[in-house]
Amino acid sequence: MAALTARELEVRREIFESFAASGAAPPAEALDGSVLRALEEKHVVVLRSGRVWMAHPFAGHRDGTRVAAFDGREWWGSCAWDGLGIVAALGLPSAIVRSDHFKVQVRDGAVSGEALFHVAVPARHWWDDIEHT
Amino acid sequence: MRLVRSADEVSGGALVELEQLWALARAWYGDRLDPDWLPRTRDESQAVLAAVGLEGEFWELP
Repeated sequence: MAALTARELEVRREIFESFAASGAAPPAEALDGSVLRALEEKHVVVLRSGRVWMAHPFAGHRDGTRVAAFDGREWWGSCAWDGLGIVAALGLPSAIVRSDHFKVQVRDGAVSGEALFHVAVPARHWWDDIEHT
Repeated sequence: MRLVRSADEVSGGALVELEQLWALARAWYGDRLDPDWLPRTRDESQAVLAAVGLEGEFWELP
């Protein structure tokens, strides 16, 4: 990943803090469009119609993986990897990750569930079409 | 990328055990909310994959 400017790091931090606090990106109007586009070029975010669609592990969409903390807070990611990544990034000791009709549980830092994670696309092509990956 | 019940449901690609995915998630994303976060280099990311046992041509980053 290419180096980020101080301004790009600042906008990135704003985006990630918003996702962490509320499960959603800041309103697109509140963000500098040119910085957003630079962050997309550097694979920090994925935009759709100018809005933050993904900021891994978080997602602005609601089509993927749902993470629920036991206090009722919720976040969204694009796949189970992201869902568990949200648990890790937030430092949640326990959470439920729902993805692809499966329920994966993290309890006191240990994971459990009856599932395997399938990765169809080789790593060198993940960013060719990240929404498909 | 998606969860499946068993290897019978898929062809090709790679399958990752849940424990390994959790280790990957922690190593890959655990620092994303750190105030002093900086992007990893390609080699650092490759090392994260290797550290959780994801090695070989399939896991080679560009």
